[in-house]
Amino acid sequence: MSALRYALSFRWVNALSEAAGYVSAAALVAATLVMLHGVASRYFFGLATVWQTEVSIYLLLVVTFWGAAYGLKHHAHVGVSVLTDRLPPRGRLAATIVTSLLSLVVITAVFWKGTALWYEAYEGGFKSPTAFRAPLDVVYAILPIGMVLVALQYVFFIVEAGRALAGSIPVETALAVTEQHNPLADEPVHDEPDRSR
Amino acid sequence: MGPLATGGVIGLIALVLFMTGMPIAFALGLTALASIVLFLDPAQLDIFAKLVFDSLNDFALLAIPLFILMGNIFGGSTASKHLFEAGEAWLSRIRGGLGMSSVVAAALFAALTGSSPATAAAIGRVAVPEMQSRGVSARIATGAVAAGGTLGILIPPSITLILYGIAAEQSIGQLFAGGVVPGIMITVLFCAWIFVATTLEGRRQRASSPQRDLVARGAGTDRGAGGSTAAGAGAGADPSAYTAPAYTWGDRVRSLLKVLPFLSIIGAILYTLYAGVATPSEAAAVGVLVVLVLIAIAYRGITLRGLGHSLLDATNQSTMILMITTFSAVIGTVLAFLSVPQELALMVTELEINKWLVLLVINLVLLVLGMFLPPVGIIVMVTPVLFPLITALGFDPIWFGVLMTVNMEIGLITPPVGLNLFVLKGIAPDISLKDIVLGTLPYVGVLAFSIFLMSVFPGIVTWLPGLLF
Repeated sequence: MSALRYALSFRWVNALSEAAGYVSAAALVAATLVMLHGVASRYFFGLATVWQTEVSIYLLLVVTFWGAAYGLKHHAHVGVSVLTDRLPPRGRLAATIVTSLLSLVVITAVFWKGTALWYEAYEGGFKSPTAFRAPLDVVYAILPIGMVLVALQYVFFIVEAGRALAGSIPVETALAVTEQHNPLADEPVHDEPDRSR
Repeated sequence: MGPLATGGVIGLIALVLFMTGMPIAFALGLTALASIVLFLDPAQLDIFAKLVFDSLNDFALLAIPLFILMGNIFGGSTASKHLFEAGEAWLSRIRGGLGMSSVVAAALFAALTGSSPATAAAIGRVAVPEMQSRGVSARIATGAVAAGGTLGILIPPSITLILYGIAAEQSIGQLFAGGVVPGIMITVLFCAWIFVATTLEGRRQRASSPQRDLVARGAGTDRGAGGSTAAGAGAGADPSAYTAPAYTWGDRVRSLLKVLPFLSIIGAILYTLYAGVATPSEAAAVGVLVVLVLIAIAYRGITLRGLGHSLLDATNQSTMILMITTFSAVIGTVLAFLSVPQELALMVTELEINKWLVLLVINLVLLVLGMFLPPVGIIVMVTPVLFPLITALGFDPIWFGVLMTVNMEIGLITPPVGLNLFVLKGIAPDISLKDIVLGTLPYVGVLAFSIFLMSVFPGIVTWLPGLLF
C-alpha cells in the first residue's frame, strides 16, 4: 500500500475529524471556565463580563462547526431514514453517496461565502464592535475551517461507499462507517463494556 | 407567487430533502440555499455565510452544550440506580409502586440529563430487570420507563424550551417555570395510569387462568387469607402481590438524601433565573461545576476517563442540535424576508376560524412531524413560522411553548421513529417490540389528555411563571 493509495483512500480524514472532536471538546471546557469566571467576577466583584461573553460565543462556534466533523464521523447528524431503511444494502450505499453530495453543496456554499467574509475582515483589519475588540479575521476563520473538516469527512464517506459498490471492501463495513443514526439512541460513542450482556 | 405559495414550495423542498435521509441540518441548509436562489435575488447568496454565522452568534445558545454536558456528567454517574431506589423506598407499598418508581426516577433523571433516550437506557437498565424479576409485566415495565423519559424535555432545565425561547424571543426563565407544574401533573397522571393498568392486568390474569390461580391459591393459602388486597392470587400472576422489601423510615430518608442534592439543582437553576443572578447560559455553566462537585462527593464515582467520555459525547450531541438550529435559523430569516409567517398569521386570522380549531390543527401537524423528526428539529423549524399566528390568535407565548413541548413528548414514544422504544428494545432484547409499543401506547393518550387539560386550564402552565416573574 503506497502512500498515494493511502492518501486516496481518505482514511486519514478519520484522524483529522477525531482531532477536531478533541479540540471542540476542549473548547467546551474552555467556554465553561470562561463563563464561570464571568459569573464569579460579576457576582463577587461587580465587574462587567464583556470579554467573557464574547470569547465564550467564539468558543461555541468552534464547538459547533469543528465538532460537526467529529459528529459526522460518530453518526450524530440525524436524518429521516424511514424511506432509505427499506432499500437493500447497496441501495443504501448509493443513497449515502447522493445525500453526501447534496450535503457537500451546502458545505461548499458556506465555505465559499465564509471565506469571502473572512477575507473581507482580514483585508480591512476588522475588529468586533465591543470594548473587547476581537480580531474578526480570526473569528471568521472558524466557519470555513469547520466546513473543510466536514467536507473531508463526506469525501471519505463517498470514497468508502464507492469502493464498497465496486466490490473492493465489504458493503457492511461501508454502511457501518457512513450511515448516520441518532447518537442518543445508540450507546455512548465509546466502546464501553456492555454490562447488560 | 404570493408569500404563502412561496412558503408552500419551500416546505415541499424541505420535505423532499428530508425524505432522502440526508442529515436534517444539511437538508435545511440546502432548502435555505434553494430558497435564496429561487425566491430572493441570487446576489443575496453573498449573505448566506453571514446568516449561518449570525445564527450561532448568540450567547443564549451556549446554554445548550453546557446543559448537555451537565446532563452527561450526571448521566454517567450511578445516579440512575439511586433515583430508582429512592422512588422504590417511598412508593413500594402502593399498587404498581415499582412502575411508579420507574416513572418518577425516569422523569427526574431525564430532567437533569435532558435526554429522553439516554434516560430510557440508564433507568431502563436498572428498573426493567428489577421489575421483571418481581413479576411486573413486560408492558407495564417498559411503558413506565419509555413514558417517564419523555418528561425530560418538559421539566427544567429543558433544551427544547431553551430553543423555543430563543426562536420566539421569550424569557427562558418563564418557560422553565411554566414547565414545572405540567411536569408534575403529567408524572402524577402517568402514575395513575400505572395504578389502573396494574389493577386491570391483575384482574385479567385471574380471569384468564383460573386453573393456575387455584393452584397458586392452594399453595399459598395463608398468604391469600392474610392479604385481602392481593385477593389470593399467586405471586407470579398478580403484579400487585409481590412482597415488597420492607423499608424503614431510616432507609427512606437515607435514599432521599442520596438524590436530593441533585434535585435541588433544578430548584437552584430556577432560582438563579428568577432572582436574575445569572442568564440561562451562565446557570448552565454553574450547573456543570455543581454536578461535578456533587457527584465527586456523593457518589465518589468520577474518573478522568469517564469525564472525557461525557465531554466528547456532549460535543457530539451539541454539534447535531446546534447545526440544525443554525440552518433552521437561516431558513427562518429567509422566510421572514419573504414575509411568509406574517402572511400565514394574517390569512388564518382573517378567516375567523375558531382559534381552538386552529390550535387543534397545529397540534395534529406537530404530532405528525413528531413521528419523524426529533423535537429539537421541529421546535426550531416550526416556531418562527407559527409564532406570529399564535400571538395574533391571542394565545400566551409561554403557554404555547410548553404545550408544544408536551406534544413533542408524544413523538418520542410513537413509531416509526420513537427513539425510546428502540432503546428499550436494545436493553431488554427478550421483550418483544410489540409489547413495548403496546405498553407505551396508553401514555400517548395520557399526554393528549394533558394537552387538553392545559388548554382548558391554561393556569396549569401560566400560574408559576406569573407568580415568579
